[in-house]
Amino acid sequence: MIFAIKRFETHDGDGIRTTVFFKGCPLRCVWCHNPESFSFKKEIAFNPELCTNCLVCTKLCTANTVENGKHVFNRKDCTLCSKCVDACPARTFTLYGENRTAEDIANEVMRDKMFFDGSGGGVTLSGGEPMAQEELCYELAKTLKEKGVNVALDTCGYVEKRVIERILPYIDTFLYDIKAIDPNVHKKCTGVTNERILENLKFIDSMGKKIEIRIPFVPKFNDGEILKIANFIKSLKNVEKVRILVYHKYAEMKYVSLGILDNSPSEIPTKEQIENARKIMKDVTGLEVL
Amino acid sequence: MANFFENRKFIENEFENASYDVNTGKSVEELEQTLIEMQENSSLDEDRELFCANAYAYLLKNARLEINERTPFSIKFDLGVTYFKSAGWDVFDKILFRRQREKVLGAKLPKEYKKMCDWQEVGLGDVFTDFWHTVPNWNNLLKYGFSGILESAKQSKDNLLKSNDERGVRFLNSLIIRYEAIIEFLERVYDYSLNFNVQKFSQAIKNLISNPPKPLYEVMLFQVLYLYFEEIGPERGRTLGPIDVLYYDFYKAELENGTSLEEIKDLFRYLFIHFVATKRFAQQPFLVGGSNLDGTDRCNELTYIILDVYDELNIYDPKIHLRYHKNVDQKVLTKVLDMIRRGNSSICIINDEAVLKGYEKIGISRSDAINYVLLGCYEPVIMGLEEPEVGVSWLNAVKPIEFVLNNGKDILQDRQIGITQNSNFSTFDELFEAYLKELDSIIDFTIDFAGKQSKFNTLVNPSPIYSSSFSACIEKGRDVHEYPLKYNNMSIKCFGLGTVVDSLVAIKKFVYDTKTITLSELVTALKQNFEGYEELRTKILNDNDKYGNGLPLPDEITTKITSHLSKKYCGKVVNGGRRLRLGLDSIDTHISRGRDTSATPCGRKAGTPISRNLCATAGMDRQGITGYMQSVLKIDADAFLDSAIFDFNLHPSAIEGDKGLKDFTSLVKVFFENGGFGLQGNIVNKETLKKAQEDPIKYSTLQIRVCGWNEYFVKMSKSKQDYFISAVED
Repeated sequence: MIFAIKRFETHDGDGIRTTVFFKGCPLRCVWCHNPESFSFKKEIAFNPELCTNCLVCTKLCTANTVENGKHVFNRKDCTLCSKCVDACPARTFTLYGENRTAEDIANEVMRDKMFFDGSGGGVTLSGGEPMAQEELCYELAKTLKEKGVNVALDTCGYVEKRVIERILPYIDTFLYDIKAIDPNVHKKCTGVTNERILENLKFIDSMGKKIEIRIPFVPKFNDGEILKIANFIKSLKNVEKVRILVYHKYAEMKYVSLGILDNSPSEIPTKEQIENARKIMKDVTGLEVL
Repeated sequence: MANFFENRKFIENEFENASYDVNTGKSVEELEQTLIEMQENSSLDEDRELFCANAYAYLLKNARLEINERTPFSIKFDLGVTYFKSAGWDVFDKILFRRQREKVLGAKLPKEYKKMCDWQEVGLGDVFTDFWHTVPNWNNLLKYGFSGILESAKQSKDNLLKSNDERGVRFLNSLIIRYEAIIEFLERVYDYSLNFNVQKFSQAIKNLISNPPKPLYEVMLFQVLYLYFEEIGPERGRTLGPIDVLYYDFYKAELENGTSLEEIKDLFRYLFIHFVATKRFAQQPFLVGGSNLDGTDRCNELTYIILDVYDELNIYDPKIHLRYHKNVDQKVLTKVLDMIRRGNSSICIINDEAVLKGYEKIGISRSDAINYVLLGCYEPVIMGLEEPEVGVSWLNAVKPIEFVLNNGKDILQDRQIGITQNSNFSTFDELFEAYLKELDSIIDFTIDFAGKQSKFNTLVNPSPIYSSSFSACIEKGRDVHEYPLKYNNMSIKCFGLGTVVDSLVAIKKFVYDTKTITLSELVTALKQNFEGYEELRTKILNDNDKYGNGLPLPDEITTKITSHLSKKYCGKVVNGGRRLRLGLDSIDTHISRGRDTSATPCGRKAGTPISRNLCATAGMDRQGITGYMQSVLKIDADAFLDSAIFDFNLHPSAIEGDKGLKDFTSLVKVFFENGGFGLQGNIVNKETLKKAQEDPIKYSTLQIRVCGWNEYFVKMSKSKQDYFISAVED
């Protein structure tokens, strides 16, 4: 199941890319800005800021009701029939989650092949955690590779090594997250410890695959990990660049829309903190740091 | 003269703050009064060319002067031109041109003229010979100068006298009167300039009285003056030409004479700021780059200097046209894209290959077309060889949908305009056929009327100054609007493609395929502006099948319409030998014509803007720029030589940093290598535009590419601002 396909993506790998977002993730990073990627099931998001109170949706199902003249979305009664998504003039509702085959997705993303070829770009599998849907991820990577498309995989690395071994031949670049080196910090930030993640990364590195390391930088959570991460990266052979992902608070409304409790950190990093982190990373690893 | 940067602010406002010397001529009111008397006493039987030449000479002789010591382009004269509104709209235009056009067309073509007035009233379009978009042959003008042109005209007149070509002699007489007035005017300016500290300027004027322009400064001054002289009346010389090539030898000579690079840059600074100051409507274009016939690139060191100065000044007037081809200098392309990325959107890039194929399609070889320039917004013209008569008509292609659905009636004004007799269509194909027939009937009338009125061109507006730039006009003794050039064409623009396609798709899907609504119910909903039909409107708006996303159904309908136009009209021989050029651009009439257009099946409400140029309906390009480009690339750009410009909006974050610039460059190249005609656009997000709307002072310099020109966002009307807010990404 995927929840979005975005074209002309320029931040997730080389050249012009189309990114396929897989739905569902084994981690629960406190700072995640894609909460629609948590669940492996379909979800309806309702953005109350856009609602004009036209009440069209209240005539369609029992989940949308009127209380004191105002529209209310009762998530617990929602059967995901999606009638509200089609009927709302203000596009207040969004259905996240579409069951699609690898072939179907591949056909859609191939529309931009000329842009991939002209820019050294390709397709990025992201999410969520693509490898958490092993078959779909494998089939899609393989199909695209066979069609001559450059494939990047944006992963948290929290999967069985076996899955990586199976998918790896069809991946050109790994966009690999390191959130912390200290397993306790990692658990606090993501809900899981990181031994498997770091082992998998070493394995990918040993297989000679091109790697871009991505580090979400969140004050008071993992800002003390930067030097340790840098030293770990230094021990790897095939990392080409490191990207510090600057934490932001733009996802607040997504949490509200999905009815998910928002525990994300309140503090965003300062420019100085980011520059400092980038400097440490560059000084230690000698790599290109973005 | 203080340095440029100290003078800049003063020069920028010199037209608004002009104070013409009352001792140098008559007031605009006096000039206007004389012209009114002349026009009222004129008859349709008299020699209009002579009449206008005398009026022209009278104006140049009596206009008041002002000299500004702070710029090398010092001279201004007062013909009531409100330069900060537009050039060309002066007393001559107001009295001699507009009144005469009404008089001539009303008397000579009453039936057609009435029909065209009806069209204007219902927002369908208009049909006029376009005197307002011209490209003089700068090569010729710079070669001969004012005195040289006058001399050739006199010689040619002698020849034509010998062969008893009365028509030719009459034309050349009017040209000679005008040029003698110009020389006399320059002498007057020279004498007057001696009162000021402008020795270099005086010297240049003195030289221009009897010689062609020689050093680079004189070339620039000549262009500035020629534009003034051509613009008296309704005419308007547009592009300054391919200035990196046009100026190159003069630039080299300057260097050899010891002029420093900084002094050369200063000349460009003053020239560009002169155009900032004149504030001509839609700006003054110039061209850089392009390919030679053998595929080599024309960019040279002057191209870099021009772009650097332009970039440094952070201006949008003059505006830049860059000719792209596969061997284009990468440094130039990257520089230009970076400028666009940093907000300088006053740049339009056109694809040589698409233009050359477009010319081939209307029977013009590559070897002739290779020297094309872009006229005003982005219309190709072969400088010196072609009179393109661009923009004879801008037709609102959305209106025919209204006629098809309502037995030929215009809804907002309840008037019978279209040809559809019966709006009961049992299939979508029948309805679609009826749409094409409506469109055809409008284009056919346009062609017919344009042909008939072109016979009165020299009675409505003789154009000897513009004509004088072409050897053919002087040798044959014919006005350029009598079509003596090697290639004489005319163009018709059909705009509103996005609204048209989305509307036809909605009819097909909701009326004929899913039968969600009957055709008569839809017509009722449209007449009621969707009041009481909000659910239907939402369903239509939320439906994904919209033009501009690279989707099969809308793209199929798009290509059916464009292929139909291409097959039936592209290159069609009309009006005694001219070829028809087609364009899909709207300029900004998508807003004004939208006001007179009823609600459309795509969910658009009555009176709101229709889609612009080749654009998707605002906000409906939901698949990102690559999807959008794919829809546009399905249109056979070669068939729309008069422009199939693609307007893009990109979010600044999508192309930030070095990688962003590289990806942006790749995007542009892929578009062109797959046949795209040209592109221009805005790198801005919705939030910035909303903030600018709320806080105009803070965002006073934010510029937006409107069509083939730029405007300050905060100075746009609210409806125009809202249109752009709805069109860009969050």
